Amino acid sequence: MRLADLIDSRIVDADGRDIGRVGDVWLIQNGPPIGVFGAALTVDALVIGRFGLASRAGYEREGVRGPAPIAWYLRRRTAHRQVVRWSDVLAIEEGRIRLRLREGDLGRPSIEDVRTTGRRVSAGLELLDRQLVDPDGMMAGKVDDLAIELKDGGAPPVVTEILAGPGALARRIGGTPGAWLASVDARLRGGSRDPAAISFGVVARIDDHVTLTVSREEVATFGFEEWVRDHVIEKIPGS
Amino acid sequence: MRANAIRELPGGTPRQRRGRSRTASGLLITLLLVSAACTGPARTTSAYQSKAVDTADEVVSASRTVLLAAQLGDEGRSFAPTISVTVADAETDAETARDAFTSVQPPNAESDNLRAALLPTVQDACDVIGEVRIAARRADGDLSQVAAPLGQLADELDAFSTRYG
Amino acid sequence: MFEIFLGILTAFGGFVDIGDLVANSETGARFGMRLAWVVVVGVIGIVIFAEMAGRVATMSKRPVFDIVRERLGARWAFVNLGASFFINLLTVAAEIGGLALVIELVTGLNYLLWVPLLGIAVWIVLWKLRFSLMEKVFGLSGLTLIVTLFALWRLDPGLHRTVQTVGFAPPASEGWAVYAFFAIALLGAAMTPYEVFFFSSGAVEDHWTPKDLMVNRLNVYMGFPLGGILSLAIMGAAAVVFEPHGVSLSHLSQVTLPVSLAFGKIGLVLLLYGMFAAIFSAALETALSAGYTMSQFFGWQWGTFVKPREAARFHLVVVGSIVVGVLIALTTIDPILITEYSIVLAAAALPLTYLPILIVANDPMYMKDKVNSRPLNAIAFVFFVLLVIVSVATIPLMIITKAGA
Repeated sequence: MRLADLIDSRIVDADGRDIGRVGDVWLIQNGPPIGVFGAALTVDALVIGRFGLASRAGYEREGVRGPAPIAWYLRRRTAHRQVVRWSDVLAIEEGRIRLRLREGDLGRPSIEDVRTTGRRVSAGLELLDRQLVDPDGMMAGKVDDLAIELKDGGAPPVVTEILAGPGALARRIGGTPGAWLASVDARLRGGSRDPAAISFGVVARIDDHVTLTVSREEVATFGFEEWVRDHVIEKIPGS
Repeated sequence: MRANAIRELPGGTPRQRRGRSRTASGLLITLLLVSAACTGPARTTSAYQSKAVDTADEVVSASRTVLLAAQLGDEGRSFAPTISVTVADAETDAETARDAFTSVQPPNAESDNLRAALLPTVQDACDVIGEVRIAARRADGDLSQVAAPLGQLADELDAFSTRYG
Repeated sequence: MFEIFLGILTAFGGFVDIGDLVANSETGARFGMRLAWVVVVGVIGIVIFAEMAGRVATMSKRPVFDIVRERLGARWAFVNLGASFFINLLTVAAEIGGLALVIELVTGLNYLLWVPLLGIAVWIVLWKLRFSLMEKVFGLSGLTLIVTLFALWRLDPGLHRTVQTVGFAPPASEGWAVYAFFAIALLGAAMTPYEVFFFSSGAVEDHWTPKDLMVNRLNVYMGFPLGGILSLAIMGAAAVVFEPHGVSLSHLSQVTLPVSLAFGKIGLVLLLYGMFAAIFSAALETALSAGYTMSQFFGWQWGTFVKPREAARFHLVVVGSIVVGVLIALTTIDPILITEYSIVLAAAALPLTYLPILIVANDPMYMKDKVNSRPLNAIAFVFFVLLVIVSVATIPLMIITKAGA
């Protein structure tokens, strides 16, 4: 399953009522060990609400004043978002998530309130669309999507891989532009429509960008760069 | 460490949105290009009149540009190629305006009169500009002499524009 | 100290491009100085926008389009990329077309012949010359455009006639719709998005640190307004020479007439040289900007601070944008018309890039202690509202006025 499958899915409560869309996903670093990264990130909670500019602007954080009218407007849009713990999810269906609880029973904690051991990461705000950087400081693409492995027996799903490249991005863009991007990417990669995956085990660190432990040349997204380098740029003197 | 960091994942299909936004923007672009480019037909006297005035203004602009360019050329204040290009550009403007105007069907007798009042002057101006262009390409000395009639012609067209504009 | 001075002059000389030349002269010929206030507004706008983008890039090490993707999210950033990239390509075509027109004015040979050669020249300079050297050489050469200021003074000593036409409304012979449309064009010419992409990527390329912030503020606060004065001089010269005689401006050849009138051949040489240099530097910046935006959106390695073979896709996009620009120019569509469309559409697209920068410039997580001050936020917000209004009004006005005919 991909993060893009979760985000923007409709949420249906125990009474069958549609209570909104998934706006963001909170992750906690308390899963099984995975490579250099340590404990893997697991899905802890889903935030209800649209994941638009309002959430991404960061106005829920303290100290972000912004131009006053913009701050006021965007803060209002994110003020009352409810949160669903993963344990309250009954089933995941095609484009829909079914809950055990009724809407009235949902809480509104902020990500700082969540009591946990282990680091908390807001997938939409801190992980998605971040720059991937290799140990030499070279840029290796963006976090376009995340691969999530569902577990049996009620254990929280584990984030196993970072998906990168236009193939993964196309899914998040959606609609006609997304489909177009996907077909361009497929053609450039010789017909394969699967996005490139980077195991979370090679992630060293997440701060304002994601640092990897492998050189960018070993990442699947390097294919296109390599092709352009070998067939176009190298042919020109002075490269 | 070359871990199993790389493997392919089965892909999904992007959610299909209705293709409406695509067609809408295509239409919009066509509309933009079309509206920016054409001169439509004139069905009323006042519509024809405004086209006539626009034509007169264009030709005045071209004529006075040529007069200035000719003066600068004679005074040695510019280079021959520059003057040449300036006059050629002005000629294109004047002729395009004339051709656009002559291609429009006058809707009634009153418009016929308007056409008859305007066209000869416009044509004369185009002819003189053409002569200036030839002289300029030859770097043939006295351009102002060749361009002189444009002063009078431009003033007449100006009067036409003021009268009907 | 010398570095600061050089920086200001480079910003000054590099400010004007084909868009400013066309917009300011056309407006001067048609409206006198009645739209001069828009140039002032536009200069204030680009100063605010560029300073914020430069500060954001310095403190967060992230250039504009990286921020745009992070804030707008994949879908809207992709739409933004599409629009910005398309407009960028049009601008490359306009600049190369403009260069070809300048060469035509010097040689008399048709501009289309020069388009491919100039495309190659632009690319060779990009490939071979170091970033800072490019900026300085062409930026400083563009300073000879200052001859326009002197020409205006010569034609209208004391600027009495020029000042007489200053106003805030169209003349009797023109309507408000056309007036507004030209206002938008002037704004788009002054607040070019590619300038901001280029400036902020340059901040990362040159590894600016907080210590550099003051110097670069000076460059922006002093260099750009000087460039604005140059724009006004171009407008004034056209106003004094053309407006009283009902001459409307539609060719670059006409733009040379006021300076010829004032100073003859010497003035003309300075003008043509300055035009060529300024437009060439703009062509370099727009081509690089195409590479920057696409690379920063997709996360590719970019920049002229690494070897070309290490940023292959970036360079491919840069070359590609020059090729497409050349092809567009070769369709024989009038370069002046391409220019007009590029600046108007650029004005319409501004809010999408402006808003993310404005928001991040207020975020202490990125900016540490260098967030926007309250007064700056107030002005910046007013500009945001203005840009949104302009954006919404552009397409309808374009249709109503038949693109300013």
